[in-house]
Amino acid sequence: MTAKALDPALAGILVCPETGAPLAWQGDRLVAASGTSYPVLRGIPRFVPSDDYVGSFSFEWNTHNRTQLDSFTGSGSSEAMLTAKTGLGPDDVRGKLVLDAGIGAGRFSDVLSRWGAKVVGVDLSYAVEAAHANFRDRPNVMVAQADIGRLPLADESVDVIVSIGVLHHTPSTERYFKALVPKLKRGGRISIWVYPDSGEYAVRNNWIPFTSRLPSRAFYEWCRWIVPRIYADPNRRWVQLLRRLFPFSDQGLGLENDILDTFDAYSPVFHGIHSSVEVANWFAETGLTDIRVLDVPSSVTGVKP
Amino acid sequence: MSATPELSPVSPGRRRLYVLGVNLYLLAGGCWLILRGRLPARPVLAFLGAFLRPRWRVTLRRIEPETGCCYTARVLPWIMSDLHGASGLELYEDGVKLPFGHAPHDTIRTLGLGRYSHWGRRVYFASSDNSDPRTNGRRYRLVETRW
Repeated sequence: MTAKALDPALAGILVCPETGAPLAWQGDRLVAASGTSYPVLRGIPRFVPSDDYVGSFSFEWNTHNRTQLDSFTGSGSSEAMLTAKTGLGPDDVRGKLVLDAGIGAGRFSDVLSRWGAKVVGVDLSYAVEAAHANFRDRPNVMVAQADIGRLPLADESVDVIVSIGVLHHTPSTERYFKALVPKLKRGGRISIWVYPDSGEYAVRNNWIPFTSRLPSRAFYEWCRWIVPRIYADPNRRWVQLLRRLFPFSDQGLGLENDILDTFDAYSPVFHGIHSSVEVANWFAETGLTDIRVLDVPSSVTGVKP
Repeated sequence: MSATPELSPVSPGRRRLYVLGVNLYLLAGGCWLILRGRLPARPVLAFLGAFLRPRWRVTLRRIEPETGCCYTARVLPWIMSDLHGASGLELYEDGVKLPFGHAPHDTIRTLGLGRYSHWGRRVYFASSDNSDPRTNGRRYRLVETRW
């Protein structure tokens, strides 16, 4: 029994990540024929015992559970970002089974599901709580807590995979990307964006060994303190200097978004940076075709032949 | 499995403690990164050095046309610009500060209207009404700020 009514295409899609055996909903568990089972807690299937190394994401997405969702902000910023970083539009996903690898609070699943996709959103962090709550009324979105390196999905089971701003927060961006590709059906498209190896991303990379060790709450309170001061008078000399040494988020989407995004940029344990060429090579190595490097640096899309 | 994280209220005292602690921690981290050459030292030294000498100020005299609305004039090379750090120069037109410093050069050229930039050894600027600053009879003065 699921906590919410799900599209039939989604209800039976989960499999045991160890054996690939189909799982059936039995009360508050998902059970394989072999007897292996996984808990369903607060309506969310759980394939991991904790949020492991992504505690900062658990914190931020349950604090800012709707800050970036177009459905709640009324802006089209997430939709514009999804299109720019994946090259996808409504016609590419309508009626299709889409994996959102690293759903967070669901900013891109919000767009994909409104475009008519059937979305499986997976995240290692407790952001799944926020995402599940945000999509409580959408039968075409299912959220699961799992490691995207060990997905509870059968090989060649999804039509489209998107992963925006997620893979570089895993222990190995390349390895986790390559773990996604087998889940794609033949003819399906995978689109990812990872941090580029230039500009503010390269500067931030220097800070990660320091900032990732800070307790989430302390660093978040600091972000809430500093970011409004930075934007109160951006032309001040000390602000210019500070932004050069410690780049702050400046997405033009409001103060709350920039507080969230500054926290998001500096708090993760892993922070990989990669060139477009490097990412395109991963696509080629996994046998993908029709590989396109998009205008946004380190955004690449390809098709499984 | 732990429960959903919730943002419980923080007392003002604890918040101040967090902010102070993180500031000190990041200051130490920044110093370490600069000493290791992972962050540039020059902008920091130039920023601090500005407090050790008189503020620089000058009236622009040799103004040259650049492109579109943009005109340019020389600036002393040791005044830190946006090229290597954070410029502290403000541009005044007849005693009134022009509103848009650190402007992209393309917008100075195409939009003008008081935009300016201190970049390398030059200041790039447009007058407040896009008139020719060499002939509009107004005085243009650069003043260095410290903060």
